[in-house]
Formats: sequence, C-alpha cells, structure tokens
Amino acid sequence: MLEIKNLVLAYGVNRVVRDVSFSVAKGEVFALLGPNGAGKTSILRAISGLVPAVSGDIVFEGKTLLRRRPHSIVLDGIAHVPEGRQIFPEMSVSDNLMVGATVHINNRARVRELEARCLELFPIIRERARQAGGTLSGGEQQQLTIARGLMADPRLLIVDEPTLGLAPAIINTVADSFRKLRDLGLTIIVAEQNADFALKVADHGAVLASGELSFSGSVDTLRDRDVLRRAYLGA
Amino acid sequence: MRFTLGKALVGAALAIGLAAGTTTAQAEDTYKFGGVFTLSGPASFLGLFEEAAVRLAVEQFMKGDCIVEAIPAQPCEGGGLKIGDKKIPIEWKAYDDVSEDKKSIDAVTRLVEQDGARAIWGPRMNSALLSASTILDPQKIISICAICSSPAMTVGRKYGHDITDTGVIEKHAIAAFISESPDKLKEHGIDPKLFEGRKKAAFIGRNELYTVHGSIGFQEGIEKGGKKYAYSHDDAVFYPFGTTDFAPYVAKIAEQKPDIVMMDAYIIPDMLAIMAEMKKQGLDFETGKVVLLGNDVLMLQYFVDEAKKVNISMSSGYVWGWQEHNPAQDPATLARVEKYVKIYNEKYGKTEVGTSSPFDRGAYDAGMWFLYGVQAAGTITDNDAIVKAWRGLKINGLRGPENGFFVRPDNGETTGQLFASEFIIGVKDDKVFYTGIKYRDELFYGAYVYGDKLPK
Amino acid sequence: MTAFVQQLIYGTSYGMNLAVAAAGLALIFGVYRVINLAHGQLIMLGGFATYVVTTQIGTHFFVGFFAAMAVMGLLGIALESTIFRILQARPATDQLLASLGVYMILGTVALRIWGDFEARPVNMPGEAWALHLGEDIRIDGARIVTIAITLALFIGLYFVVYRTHLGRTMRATAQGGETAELMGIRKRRVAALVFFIGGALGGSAGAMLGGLFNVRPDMGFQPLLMALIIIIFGGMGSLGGAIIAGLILGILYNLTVYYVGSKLGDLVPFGVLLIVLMVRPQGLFGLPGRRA
Repeated sequence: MLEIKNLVLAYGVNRVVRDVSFSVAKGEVFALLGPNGAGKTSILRAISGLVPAVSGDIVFEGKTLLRRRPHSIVLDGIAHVPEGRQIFPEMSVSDNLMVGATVHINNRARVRELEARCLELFPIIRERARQAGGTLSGGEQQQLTIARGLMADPRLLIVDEPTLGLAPAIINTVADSFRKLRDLGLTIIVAEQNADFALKVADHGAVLASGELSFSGSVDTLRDRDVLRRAYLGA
Repeated sequence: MRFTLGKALVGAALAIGLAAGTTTAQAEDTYKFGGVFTLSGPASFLGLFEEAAVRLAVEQFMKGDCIVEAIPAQPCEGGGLKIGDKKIPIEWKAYDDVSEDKKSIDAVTRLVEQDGARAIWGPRMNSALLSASTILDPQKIISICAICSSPAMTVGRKYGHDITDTGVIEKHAIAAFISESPDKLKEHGIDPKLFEGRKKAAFIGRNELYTVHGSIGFQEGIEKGGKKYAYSHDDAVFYPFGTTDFAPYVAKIAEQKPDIVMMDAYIIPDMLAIMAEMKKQGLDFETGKVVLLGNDVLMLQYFVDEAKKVNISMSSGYVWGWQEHNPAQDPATLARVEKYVKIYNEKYGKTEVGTSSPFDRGAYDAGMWFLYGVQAAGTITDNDAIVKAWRGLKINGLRGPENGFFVRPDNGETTGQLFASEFIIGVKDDKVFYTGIKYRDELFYGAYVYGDKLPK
Repeated sequence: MTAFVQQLIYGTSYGMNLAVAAAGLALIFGVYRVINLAHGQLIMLGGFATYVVTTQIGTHFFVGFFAAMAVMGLLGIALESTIFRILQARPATDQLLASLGVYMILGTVALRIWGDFEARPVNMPGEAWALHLGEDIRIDGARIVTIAITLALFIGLYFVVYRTHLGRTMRATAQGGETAELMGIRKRRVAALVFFIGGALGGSAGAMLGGLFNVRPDMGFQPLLMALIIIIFGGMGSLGGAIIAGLILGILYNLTVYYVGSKLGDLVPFGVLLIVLMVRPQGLFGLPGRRA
C-alpha cells in the first residue's frame, strides 16, 4: 500500500534520514521504532507533504506523494495524527472533530456517518462535545486526535507517538482503540519510542537508529530482545 | 621603518594641504549655499515649493533676469554675484529630510562640513530648526527660512533669518483686530456691533510649537488690546497629530462658552472637520453665535471654495482672518507677480511642485533678497559683513514694495525677522476681501520678538 | 453629568470605529501571525474608495461602502500573495518592517494622487439629523448609523468565524497552523480569506470615518495606532476583546481629553499599553493560548 524507497531527508545540510526503504501492506499495523531523534517523525512528515524529500520516493497505492500539498495527500486517503497530540485548545471538542472532516465537509451525509463512527469508537467525545479541547485529559486528547484523523475517512492512518506522556492504564485503552481501527480495515503506521506498546499492536515494524534503518521485519522477530536491543543500539 | 613613517606623514600633510587648497580655491570661485527641505513623503507639499522658488531665484540671478529689485539698487547682470569686478557663480544644493529630524540635522552638517555651504535654508520642522540653529549660529553660518513662522529662528540668534511672519506676530494682529473700537470697524465698512457683548475667547490648534507660540501671542495681543476678552493660554485646546474625530476637542472649547474662537490650524482637512463639528456643537459661526478667527490658510479663496463643498458657509460676516500678502497690490507689484507666476507655472506647474501660491512667492523674494545681500556685502566668506549688508537692504518684492527687516526701537538693532505686515481679511458672498485694516509696527512686542530667551 | 454622558456617546462612536479598524488587524494577526501595519493605509484607501464611488460617481453611501470593502479585501489578498507569503518564514520583525514599508508606499501614492488640500466629503445617512436627549445631549444621526454598522459587522464576523466551517478552518489555523494543514486545510486559501476579510474590515472602517469626517491621506494613522493597542489590550486575535477594548479606549480617550486636558489624550493609549504590558508581561508575541 505504501512504499518508502531510498528516502533521504534533510534540514539544511543536516541529513536526518539516510537511504531508508520499507513497505507497509494493506490492513496491517506497522510500527516505526527507534529512539528520540532517530528520524521517525521526519519520515511521517515527509509522507504528509510537510517535509520535501532530498531523494528517493514515497509511493502510495501506486502514486508518488512527492511534491504534493498536504491537503491533496489527505484527499488521497492519508490522515496524520501529529506528535504531541496537537488538538486545537480553544476550539470545542466537536469543532476539533469537524476540522478533521475538512476535505469532504460539503458532503453532509458522509460527515454525519463519519461522526457517528467516531462517537461509537470514542464515546468520551460525545460527553465532552461542548468542552474546549484544551480542557481534556491527556488520554482524552489522544482519543480526540485519532478520532479527528478518522474524520478524513482515511485508508492509511499515521499516528506519531500516541503514548507519549500517558499513564500505563491509559496506554492500554489506546492500544484497544488501535485494534478496533484495524478491525475496520484501516492500515496504520505508528511511530513509537515505547517498544512494548508497539509490539503489542503491530504486525510488522522497522527500527531506525540515527536516520538509518537497522531492522525491518515481523514483530515476532522483534520480540526477541536481542534483536531489538541491537537494532536500538545500532550494534 | 622610521623613514617610511616620516614619508607617510609628509604625504598625508601634503594631501591635507592640497585638499585645503582646493577648498579655498573653490570657495573663491563659487558661492555655495544649500537647503534642507521635506521633498518626499507625506509632508513634501511643505517643502517642494520652497526649494523650487529658491532654485528659481538662483537660476534667474545666474541668467540676469531678476524679477524683484533691491533698495538701494543692486545689479543683476547674470553670470553670478557681482563682487568687485568679478562674477562669482552661485551653487545651490538641496537635501531631502523626509520629515525626519535626524535626517535634517545630518543634512545640515553635511552641507556645512562637506559641501562648504556658507548659508543654510531650512529645515522647517520646529525641533530640527531649533537644533540646526544651535549648530549653525556658533559657526557663523547664516540660516534662513521663508515659511517657518517661528521665533526660534531669530530670537537670540545673530545669523538666523525668518523671512515671514511668526505665529506670534500674526496672532498679535488678529487680537488687535478684535480689540478695535466700533468706530474703526464702521470706518472700514464692518458691522460695528460685530464684537458687541462678546467676552470670552477660545483657542484650538494642533499640538505643536507653532500653535503654542500662537496661543501665547493671542493672549499677549488681547492684553495689549485692553483685555476686552477673557483668554488665557492655559485654556487653549490642542489636538494631536493624526486626529480624526474632533468631537471631544470641540466639546472642550464649547464647554468654555466662547463668543470668539481662534482656530490656529493650517491643514485643510483638520480645519474643515473642526468647523463642521463646531456647527454641530452649537459654536455656530454661520449665525453669529460665535465669531470664528483663522489664519492665512483660512483666508485663502481656495479654502472658502473647499468649505462650500462641504456646506460650510464662511460668508456670514462672522469669519475673519489675515493675510501676510497685501491682496490690494500696487500696479508695479502686480506686474512683478504676473511675470513671476507665468515663469514659475511654466517651469513647475505640471510637476509635483504645482502652480504658484503666495507661499512660494515669499520664498522667491527671500532668495533674491539674500543674494542681493551677499552681493551688497562685497564678500562671499565674511558672514558678519553679509548679515549686516543684507539687513540694510530692502526689497521691492512679490509681496509688496519696500519689505525690510524689523529694527528694534529699544536698541536700534536690526533683527533677522521680516518686518511683516498683516492684512485683515473677511469673506462676503463666498469671496475673500481685504478690509483695508492692516497692522505692522504695532505687532512687534513681547518676549517672542525682543526676548533674548524664549519664555517656556 | 450631561457633559459626561455626551462624552460617553462620542467615545462610544469613536471606539466603535476603532474596534472595526482593530478587528481586521486582530484577525490577520490571529491566523497569519503578522502585524500588518499596512492595515492603516487600507483604512485610508477604503475612505478614498468610498469617496470615489459615493461622491464622485454619485451613488448611495452603501454602494461606496461595499465597494470599499470589496476593493480593500482584494488589495489585502494582493498584499498577502506578493509580500507576506514570501516573508512568512522570516522573523516577525522582517514582516513588521515590510508592512511598514507598504504603509509608507501606499501613503505616498495616495498623497500623490489626491493631495491633502481638498474637502472630500462623503454623504452618509443620518448626517442631517440628530437625536436629542433632554436639553444638552445630542447623538448625531451619522454616529448612530456608524454604531449600527459596526454592530452588524461584528455580528457578521462572529457568524463567519464561529458558525461556519470556513471560520473553523481559520480558527484551527490560528491555533495550530501545521496541524490544520494535516487536517486537509489549504493554508493559502485560509490566508487569502483572512486577508480578504481583514482588508474589507479596514475598508469599512475607512468608509465610516470618511462619512463621519473628511477623507484624507493621513486618516489611517491614528486608527492604526489605536488598533494596535486595542489588539494587545483585547488579547491578540480575539474579536470580542477587540470590540470591548475599542469601546474602553474610545471612551477613555474622550473623557481624558475633556476632563484632564486636551494634550493628554494621546497618553491614554500608551498608558493603557504600558499597564497591559506590565500586568501581562508576556507582551505582544507571547500571550497565553498561543502555541509555538
């Protein structure tokens, strides 16, 4: 479904991602693992058109995503839940949700359908609908951002660091929601430092260290602690 | 090493000597003077015409085609100033200050230090003018302004020359007018009851030095006229630059319940806005509720026409002001003005400078007068001699015959202040007219004319 | 007492003018993060547009009014797409200076075209009558019309910003520009929209000032200055704050001029600015609720 081919990304002269390739199959949860600063977020931003590629290619369902504006990538079926949750703090929860539906806001029936799906998946959103987004707890905010991403009706959902700063009990509810999403037939890429969480939800994974790919394969292999440790340490 | 250093020193000394030599040689070859004006930006309309008029004066002096005459007569043969047997070309250089004080002072310094100017025209802005005077006077550089209207040019200065009236002198005139006896008014065809029963005067102007001086002059004039009106400088209402809504300022005047309002503004949109608001707030000069006094801009025919466009009539008989330019000129002056206006308009009429108005005529007079003064001194370097010779000359100019400098009666000293006349003007049937009342000698009194230091 | 009420009325009408002037500035800053000093000249040019359409062509005031809004809206879009977009990645000071440059250029152009020597009246509804309360208090009809227009503009603006999806996209961009892009919001379209509405609000402020007073090349200066203080005072980017701060500032200004001294009116906005900055030391670029 998504193929990253020999991707190179840079901020100025500093190459933060070097020659990375991996592919994500339809319907799976793909974990992008690695320590802070390994280049995970940069790759996700490149997929969404926020960062231009120096070289290489990003192909989604047979079409390249390079040199495309973010909104047209959303239109193609990719939604991105950014790192740090990034809800719109002074907007109501329901307004936050509706912003996610921007690309097909004029199709009212479809928006209503998507909204119903989100409320079913995340009942807390209905309870909090009128509250300002900034007043939600961390876990609620994370659910809201995922729901907001779902409002774009994506086939591929990108989630950046969903567990960052969340208590273990809440991490479990996030993991639950990932399973529900996969049951809906969504393909998901999740970037995580938290290997436990990633291993719990993912089918396949790739490990990045200092901008280079050090492992790519099934999660079962990664469950072998040595493999994971080597991958993280780049040994 | 030692040798090299010595050679370098000699070289440097030679270079300096050469440079000095060149300057001296040039100073003898040409007469240099320059100006600092606002030539671009929003206030350029206050600078372009003055620069244009002085430049025209220089060009005509070089061509030998002077329109005005000096008394006693001075030659205008062309080729430059006639000093002894020699003809010394005149070089004029002007800088743009973009309405900024700092740029003004920079330009003044550059003119003196780099361009070798012996006299400086401008700057106009009060704050820049003050600092320029303090720089120029100790260096014996002559400073001149033809539209400054500020006593800061001349009071306490040996080399400053103000070739127009000042905000103080003109207010002395209007205050003298409102203090006139009914008989005098009647004699000039003015309703003798115009000021009957009027007791309280008020003053409004933009917050700047010119209007502060104006208000003090107005108070001085009322006191000198026998205190027929209650007015104190403390009651003056000053609005800030950029005011759009004049309601609170006019309300503040209305609160004083005045019978006479002196509007010391010269920006036409300000004036129209104040007058419209006055009518709304019951200070009605169309019905005679108040008498409205204004300055030489209010008394321009052009302004009367503009006011009419916004349904303000100035013809009620209750609007009075002054002009520094005699509207009823003698035939010789009229002929000079006619010739000048033709040349000026052909040269500048279609440029951004625009067509001739009384203001550029004053600047042209001043330019000519000064050049005659330099010529009369017989030197281009000795500014003391030039000041003395210039102040001793009179001019048959575009503003009328025999214009001269004010001589202080207390010590017989000639000042750098134009001995300005003020002509009282009214409006009738939408036309400005000259009342026949004019003031001159009686206007020159007070700290702003005699003082060696200005009152705070 | 009557004098006090009278000054409240003048202050309210003046404050409303300022609030409209500030709303455009606040909207542009809130969403686009640029302090657009050129806004002052959009106010001025709005006045001239109204003068040309209403007075010179000879139409009803509201024809000129809406023409001014439309033309200034388009000028806003033009400024965004030619100048501010290029400078958006640069530091805020660069953008501020660039907008000051635009302010100067537009001012000089207007002065060259129209000059500052003429009466330029714009006939406005309500000019000929006034409402009298008791003996001494009067409310000019034109001022009532101005207040009504202002309220209508604010209601309309509130509706657009808080009750439409376009408004949602603007608010989302204001609160997190990049996240908004990830949600499929077109950054450039929002920018154009915001500059259009901002410019149109500036144009409407100019039309009203022109109707109340005289249209002139320097008429944008004081409203711009006051608008800057209003948006700091009212909370950067807040529309409700703009109208309340505008009212307070307008009334305070008038009362100070009347009761304290005419020369001191100018101290009011700066006094308010100082107090606001002292009480809220985060200042211009760091008010709470703003995300990096």
